Parts: sequence; structure tokens; C-alpha cells
Amino acid sequence: MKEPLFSVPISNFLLRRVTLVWLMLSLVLFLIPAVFGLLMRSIQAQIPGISAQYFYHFLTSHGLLMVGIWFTTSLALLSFAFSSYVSPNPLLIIIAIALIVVGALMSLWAVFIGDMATGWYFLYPLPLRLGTVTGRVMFFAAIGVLGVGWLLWCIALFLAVAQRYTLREALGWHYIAKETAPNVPPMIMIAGVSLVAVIICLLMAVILLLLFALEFLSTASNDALLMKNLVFVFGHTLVNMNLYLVIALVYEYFPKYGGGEFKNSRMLAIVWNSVLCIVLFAYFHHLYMDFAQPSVIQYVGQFASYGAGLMAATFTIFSVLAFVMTHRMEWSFSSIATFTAIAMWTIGGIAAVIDATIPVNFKMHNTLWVPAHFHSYYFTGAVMMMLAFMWTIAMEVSGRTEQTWIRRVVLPLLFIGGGGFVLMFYLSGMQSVPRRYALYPALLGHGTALSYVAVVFILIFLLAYLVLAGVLITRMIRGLRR
Amino acid sequence: MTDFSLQWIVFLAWSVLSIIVLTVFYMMYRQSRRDPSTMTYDVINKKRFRFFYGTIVFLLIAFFAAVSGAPYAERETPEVIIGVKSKMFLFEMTQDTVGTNQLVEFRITTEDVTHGFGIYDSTGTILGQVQAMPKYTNRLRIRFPEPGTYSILCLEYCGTLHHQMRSTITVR
Ligand code: HEM
Ligand SMILES: [Cu+2]
Ligand SMILES: [Cu+2]
Repeated sequence: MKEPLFSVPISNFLLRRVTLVWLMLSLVLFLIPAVFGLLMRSIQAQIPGISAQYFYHFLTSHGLLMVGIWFTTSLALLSFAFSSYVSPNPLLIIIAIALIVVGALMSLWAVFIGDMATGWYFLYPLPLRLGTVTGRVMFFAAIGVLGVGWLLWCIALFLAVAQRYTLREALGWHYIAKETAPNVPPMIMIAGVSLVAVIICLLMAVILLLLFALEFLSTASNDALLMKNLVFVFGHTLVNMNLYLVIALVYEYFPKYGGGEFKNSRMLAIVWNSVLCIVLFAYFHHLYMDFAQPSVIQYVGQFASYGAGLMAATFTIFSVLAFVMTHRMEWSFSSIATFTAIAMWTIGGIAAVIDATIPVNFKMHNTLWVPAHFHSYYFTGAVMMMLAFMWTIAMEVSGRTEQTWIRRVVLPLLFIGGGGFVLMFYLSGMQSVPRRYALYPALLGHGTALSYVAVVFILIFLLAYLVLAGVLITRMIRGLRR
Repeated sequence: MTDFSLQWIVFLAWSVLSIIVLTVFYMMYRQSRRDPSTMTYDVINKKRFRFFYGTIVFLLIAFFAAVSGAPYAERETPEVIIGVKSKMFLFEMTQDTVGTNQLVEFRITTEDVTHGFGIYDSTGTILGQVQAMPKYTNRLRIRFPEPGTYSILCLEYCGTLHHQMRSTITVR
């Protein structure tokens, strides 16, 4: 049996069990939106026997569930990792999990029974024109319930940190003021600043929901440009924070794979506090093609997008590479998967920065280049990192060691399947194939062919994923019994 | 049409950068398997800041190039003005024929939800696009370089028949 990587106070055992239950649940739940993804690509490939009728329902549900599941999983992984330092309240987390599961089921109901195929980001006034009346109510209620669930979980993490650190310390501001004590682990600081941003974006969601509700209940009407700004400050920020929460975990786990540690410092504190300020303005790049938005804001958007990319490259990615260069790494499933996923994140980030350039966006906005870059850093990036950390946790709680074939066979297949699937998005985006198209017109016949190839890669990924998830779940169950 | 569209250049740049990224990651991986370098963290930090400033210069150049290429400025007077009314799931244009290399301004509005107005050439390459947002008029200026039939596709999801929302424009 291996030495556990972390020592944990006994009082946190319930917390660890609760988070393990969510991790297992998320591994199973992921299959629902993953199959929707497979179906979408099959429809676009015009594989006979699959009706295009439900494409936009799959699209909406896929986006909502994927983001919902993996955002929650990042909170669960953080809670697990936090348990070595502080004690998040398991009761709050149980309530949060219940709300999130209910919210996810409500969203499925709204989309498929209530006919609310709005897309995962939905532009005013589309949701008020689609679906049945109960569907609309259910749709907004589902988002509300999910939001409350996430908020509770974030609060549980915040309260836990507050037991040990002041807010100023948790955000690393004492480092900025050139103090060195107390020592705050980078994970806690990065998660702390990111959670502040999460709370800001949940507040935006509340405003958005209220404005929609107002119009739904009365004859008031809203401003489409304002509503679009609100949708993206919520959606874009949530997805980015999901990524940063995972990066917080990288700072905790990755150096452990090389027997070292990332130390917190003044530089790190300055970098992360400024990243969080910058990234709040990056969402403007979603509105470049709304010429009614003042041009100054467009340039601020481009500046912020570049800034966020620059910071990530010079500090996080550079540090990871420097660490690997100077340490004897133990190359296990977890470390190889994390390292490869960071490369995929970088590649997706480059594609994002390119698309955040206004004249490029003029031609590539709303093409498949967009899903290409966010699947790179979300799916083959953040999600793979989360699977890597789950692997570390599953080994630790079950007390088992790693089989070589997981590393030699399953791991490459995950990345070949995932990477090939994403590459088809890039090739399509470059050739002007639009995103969110159930079927491609004859002019864009190459889009259909590339979808077909993507289907093959998705099947490879899913095969490897099923094996990995099976092993993870059996080990976590073993861990629960111990 | 143009042999090297912006999209191709972008893809090429992205591919080259991605290959560099993968190579660097692979080299570091190999390095850690052989002998963890004797390099100290100070040396690395010096390189970090060199990388940082280098990238800033590069990004600033890109930034200003991008600002000058942005489609927002409206200096010249357009030769042709076409009103476009979009609604689920069609475009109504005041005129659907223009001349080669004329400066055309599309004034795009929508009667219901948000739509997108994307212009494709006959090879299926996007020339440019703009959103159609309720209660706003968005102006898109473009010159058609060659005669032929160009397609207009809706580029913002607007409902179940979104992918069938199309029109054409003839350039003489
Ligand atoms: C098995 C893996 C996956 C497959 C096969 C898949 C497939 C797809 C497909 C085909 C689309 C539609 C692209 C289009 O617009 O034509 C899509 C969109 C999307 N995917 Fe995935 N995806 C996968 C994993 C993920 C993951 C892990 C996430 C996030 C954590 C994610 C988030 C999204 C989002 C947010 C959208 C946009 C939905 C919208 O436009 O409303 N996907 N995906
Ligand atoms: Cu439309
Ligand atoms: Cu449309």
C-alpha cells in the first residue's frame, strides 16, 4: 500500500465520503451529455436513421449538463483537497448536491418535455418565444435551482477558509503588502479569488433571471444588448472560473507528483488577483459582432482577452514546465494526464486568443472554431485534469496501486479520441462551417464529412472512458467501504 | 476567389504554435526522465520575464494591427445601401444585385429574435458577418471582389429552422 499524499483530520471523513459520492455520480451523469454530443455529430454527419428533429434539444441539454456537471465536480474536488487544511461543512454540501441534481433533472424536463431548445447560452428574447409555458417556467426555475446549489457550495468553501484565514489572507493580499505570514497554500488563494468571481457571476445570473421574469409576467420589454451582455458575463465567467478552480487544483496536486511543492509568493498573489480582474472584462469578445456595442468596449474586450492569455502562459504554464524540468517526476496516469491536458489547454488558449482578435472574429465568430477552442481547454483540458485528480483520489482511498495498462492503453485512447474529435471542429471552423447547425447546406458539404470522422473519434474516446470510469467507480466504492 | 483566406492563415498560425507547444511539452517530459536539470529556479525566472516581455511586445503589435482592421470604422460613403429585414426564418432585402467592388452597406434589423447575417462566397468561405439584434440597426460594409452568387446564412441560433435560414446575393 502506498503512503497517502495528504493527511486528513478525522472530522473531515464525512466530507470526504460526500464528495466521493458526487464524484461517482458525475462519472455516470457525464454519459448523458456525452451521448447527446455523439448524437449531434451523427446528425450532422447525416448518418441514416437519426432524426435531426431533436438536434437543438440535444445541443441545449449537452451544454447545460456538461457545464453543470463539471463545474460541480471542480467544487467537489476542491472540497476534497481542502479537507487537508480546513473543514467545509458536509451538510451544506449535501443540500447543494441535492439541489444540483434536482436542477439538472428540471433542465432535462424543460428542454425535452417543455420544448425549450434555447441553446446553452440563450439570447433574449428567444427563450420567451420557444417551448410551452410550463417549459419556460421550468427552464428558468432549473437555472435558479442550479444557481442556488452552486452558491451554497461556494459558501461552504468560503466559510471553511474563513475558519482559518481572514478574507485578506485568503485572497493573498497580505503577500501583496509584503508580509510573509501566514502561509496560504496557492490552491486556497487561487480558489478564493476565483470563488469571488463566481459569486459575482451568479449575481449577474440573478439579475438576468429577474429581467426575464419581469417580461414574462408583465408587458415590459428588455434591451437585447444589455441582456446579451448579462448572458455572457454569466456564461463566459462561469466557464472560465471552472477552469481556474481546476488550475487551483493543479497547483496543489501536480507538484506532489514530483515530490515538491508550489510555494505561494507575492508574485503569485499579484498575478492571480490581476487575472481575476482582467478576466471579468474578457467576455466582451462575445459581442464583437454586435456593432451597436460602443467600439471602445470592443477594444477593452480584446485587450482583456490577450491579458488573460498572457498571464496564464507566463505564470501557470511556465511554472508547470519549469517544475517538470527540475524534478524527477513520477509519471503515473494522473501526472501524464494532467501534463497532457495542460498542453491541450494551452493549444485551446492560443485558438481563443486568435479568435479574440476583432478582424479574425469577423470571419470566425459562430463558426465551429469556437466549440473547437473551448472543447480543447474544457474537454481535453479541464475535464481530463479532473479525471486525473479523481484517479489520484481513487488510488488513495482504495489503497490500490495503478495498473500499467491504464496508463499505456486507456490514457492514450482518451487523448486520441478527444483530440481527434476536437481537431475536426478546428478543420470545420477554418472552412467556415457554422456552429449550432443541425444540418449543413450543400455549399458546406465538407462539414458533413468532417462530422463523420468526428463520430469515429468520439466512439474511441467513449470506449476508453467507460473502462476508466468503471475502474474509478469500483475503487471509490472500495474507498467508501473502508 | 482569394486563394489564401484569412481563415487559412489563422489555421496555419495556430497549427505551427500548437506543434511548438506539443514539442516543448514533450521535451520537458523527456528531460524529467533523464536527469532533472541542474537549472535553478532563479535562472528559470529570468527566462520567464524575458518570455513575458517578448510576448507583450508581440501582443501589442497584434493589438494595433487588429484595431486598424476592425470592421467598425465608417469613413467612406457607401455606394449602395441595402436594407435587410430578418425574421424567423428568412431575410428580406431591398435589393439583391450589386456591382463588383462597390462599397455596399447592409443595414440589418430583425422583427423577432436575434439572427446572424453571414456572407459566404461561392467556395463556402465567410467574407464577413454581423448580428441582427432586436431594436438595433447594425451596419455591415463590404466589397464583393468578384462577380458571382454569394450566399447569406443565418449565423446566430434563432429556432428550430435556423440552419435553413438563407438567401443569396448576385454580384455582376
Ligand atoms: C464526449 C465528449 C463530447 C462530445 C462528443 C461533444 C460534442 C459536442 C457537439 C457536437 C457540440 C455542438 C457543436 C455545434 O455547435 O455544432 C457541442 C457543444 C458544446 N459542448 Fe460539447 N462535447 C463533448 C464534451 C463536452 C464537455 C466535456 C463540455 C464541457 C465541460 C462540453 C461543452 C459544450 C458546450 C458548452 C457546447 C455549446 C452548446 C451550445 O452551443 O449551446 N462538451 N459539444
Ligand atoms: Cu435566423
Ligand atoms: Cu438563425
